[in-house]
Amino acid sequence: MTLVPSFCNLLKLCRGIAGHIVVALALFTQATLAAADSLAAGKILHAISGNPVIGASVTLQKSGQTIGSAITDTGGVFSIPLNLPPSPRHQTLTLRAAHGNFVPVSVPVQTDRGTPTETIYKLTLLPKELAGCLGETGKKVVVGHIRPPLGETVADLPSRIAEALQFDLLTRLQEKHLNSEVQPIFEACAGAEPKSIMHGGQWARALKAHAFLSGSVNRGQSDFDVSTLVSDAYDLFDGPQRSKNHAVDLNDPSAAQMDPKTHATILVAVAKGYENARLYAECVDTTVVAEGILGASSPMIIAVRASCQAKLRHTGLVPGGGQ
Amino acid sequence: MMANYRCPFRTIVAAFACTLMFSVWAIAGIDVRLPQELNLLEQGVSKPHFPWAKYRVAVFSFEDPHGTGLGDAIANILAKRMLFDSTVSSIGVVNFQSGLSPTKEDSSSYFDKVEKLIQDQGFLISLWGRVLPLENELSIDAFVQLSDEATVKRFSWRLELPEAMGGGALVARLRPNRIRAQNLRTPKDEAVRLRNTSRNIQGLRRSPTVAAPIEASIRPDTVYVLKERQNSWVRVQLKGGASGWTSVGAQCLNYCARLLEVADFASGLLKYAERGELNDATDYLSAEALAVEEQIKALDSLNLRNIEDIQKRSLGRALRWVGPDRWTGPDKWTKIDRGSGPAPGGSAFTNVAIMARTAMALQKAYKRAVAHPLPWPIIRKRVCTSNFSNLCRVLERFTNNSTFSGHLRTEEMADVAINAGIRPKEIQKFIRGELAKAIFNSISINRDTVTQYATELARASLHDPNNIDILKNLAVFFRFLEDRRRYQLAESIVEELKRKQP
Repeated sequence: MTLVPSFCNLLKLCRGIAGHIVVALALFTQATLAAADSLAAGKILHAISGNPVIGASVTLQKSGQTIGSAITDTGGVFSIPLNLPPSPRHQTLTLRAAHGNFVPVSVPVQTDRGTPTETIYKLTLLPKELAGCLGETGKKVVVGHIRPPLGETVADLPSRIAEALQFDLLTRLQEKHLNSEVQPIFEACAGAEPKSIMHGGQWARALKAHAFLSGSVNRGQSDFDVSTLVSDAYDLFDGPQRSKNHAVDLNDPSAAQMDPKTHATILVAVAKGYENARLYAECVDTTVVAEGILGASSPMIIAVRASCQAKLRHTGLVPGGGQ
Repeated sequence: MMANYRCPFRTIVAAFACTLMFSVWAIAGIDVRLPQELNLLEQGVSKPHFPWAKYRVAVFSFEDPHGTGLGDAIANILAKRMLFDSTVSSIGVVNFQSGLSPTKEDSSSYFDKVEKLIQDQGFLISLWGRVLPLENELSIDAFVQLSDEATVKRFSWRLELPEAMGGGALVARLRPNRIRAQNLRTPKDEAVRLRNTSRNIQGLRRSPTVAAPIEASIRPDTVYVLKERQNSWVRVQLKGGASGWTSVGAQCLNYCARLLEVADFASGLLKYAERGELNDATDYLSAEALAVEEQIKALDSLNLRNIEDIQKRSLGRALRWVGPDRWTGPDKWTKIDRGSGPAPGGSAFTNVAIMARTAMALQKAYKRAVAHPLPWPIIRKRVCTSNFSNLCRVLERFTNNSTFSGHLRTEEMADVAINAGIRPKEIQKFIRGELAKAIFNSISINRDTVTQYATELARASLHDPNNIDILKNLAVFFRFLEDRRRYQLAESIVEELKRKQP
């Protein structure tokens, strides 16, 4: 037993100390760099397909002045070096992505001591031909392309469906005195043509809609069969919700009338949108309207309503219903 | 001297002329071309029609997205029915024709335009709707909309609570006040008949019969007034002089007559607003119209004296729409399909049911209180005001008797007073008025019962979160239960909802 450390032990101790010094130095350098230099990085994707958008121009602006820019690479990735002073601590910049074939998009970038608060910014670009279908965020239901039978045309069916939905559903919602600012809008977007029926949800998200309705017309025995598919932006449904109207005369306006199940499905998606927008009372009211249209409840209606009810301040009124 | 002289004959003539003028103008209508009206509104020119009328009604051209040509015809038939067959003392009906569909110049929707005009003109009741051709038939949706002001002033009810429960009142307003009154299906060829009927109604005939020749017509933008009635016929005078006879009932038959039920339903609401009398729902109305009728009747029965009457007419009617015994399928009397889903008006019927139960509990407590002798010191303190000094002095003398138990029955009080020579009228006034009020204010409902009502209402409010009446009633209950936290929460949500309201 000796009180003098062996050489080997001394070496280990030195290594340990040196290691700590290196880590501390690295942290110090990083902290200094963060105040002076940082990156606004992210990815630009095609709003419908989810594929990367190559060659998009991304700019970072402060009070309207460009302070950095980049072009996306083959993976749609960009990174813009930043050199902002650490004060003021919180600043708001604008990240703008543009490409000749797409509708430009901008998002706010918050900074903390000169560093963006997000590590990766993901922006989606909508093809320019769909620019007309992009409305106000979270307020609408889009009726997309209705595929005609081979070699035939379906005159104006999306617009007619949108009009019919507007009357049928808005009158129901208005009975609940929903504030006009939050009432959904029903719009036709004939150019919105998903490649697969499973892409409806993506289309709803890309068009910033609660729900997306598409469909097809097939020749039936005597007349036409019109099938519709309703997808939602919130992945509420496992897949698109189908309904079918048999023996429809396409020249007849009733071809645009949707069945109660379709109405209720759309309203459940709208209700979910209200929940996301923290409009819980409107969410509950909308599920009640959906239930009224169906004449009965459904597991989806019950689930969405329960979720919204749980967030209402009214729960505190029920004994045992929370504080 | 001459200057002060008033000719009685002139005064009588002036009064007569005034009466005549009022009666002439008491029922009037106008067909207005909407594009012009909307243009004026856009320019900020607001010119209310018939500002003198006690009841101002608007009927809007029905939305007609597929050009059946029936939008104006249906509105015209309904407008004329409301005007010609109305039983209220003073009414002005504006029939807005065409121009409600979105155009290239004005993309506002049908509803936006309807709503804009209702708000601008402040109509008490509005009728609007849509006509849609289906495969083999026409689908006509008709709506009756009560203004918020009308709902608050004429279609709201209160159930006063005793002071022992903290006072205040439970409240209810008619819900819904935008009522899908009818969905009528007619054969497609009915369109021609409806258009012809509308045209015929505009014609003013020499005498009250369909065979009489037409001598003038009701034209757009011309005010017309009702001068005379003869069965279903009315003599109409146009501003400018021409007059003649027309009738809706005699010319609108079969399917058209079914359509009239919407106008009659709306007229029934006006009659109720004026005289408290309500029509029964009729066969071709919707479940919502039936629900509105039953809700009004249920709320009207809340203040009945007899517990069995409240149970049958108020609670019974409410429970037709909510709870495990909700009535479904075709209605017993009208055959209107009551449906099976949520009741029209959200949780309004739960609110009515709770108010009815509260009314019954209060009646029970009151009857119990009256049946028992009342402590004299309380009577003296609460009822013996200066109005009843004589009577109270007599009663005081009686209570000074050494055999007096300290309590008095109402019958005993009456006997004592009559023997002392007090007038029966005064005794009645004392017992039925002030004493009854004092007894009422001393009663209370069992706290457990109120807790149960509050729980039921709180659950109903989760289902109908924007129902301000339910929240107000919850606040009243929680205040009585001394549940400060829930009372403040209910009050705070009420304030939040009030801020949200346009």
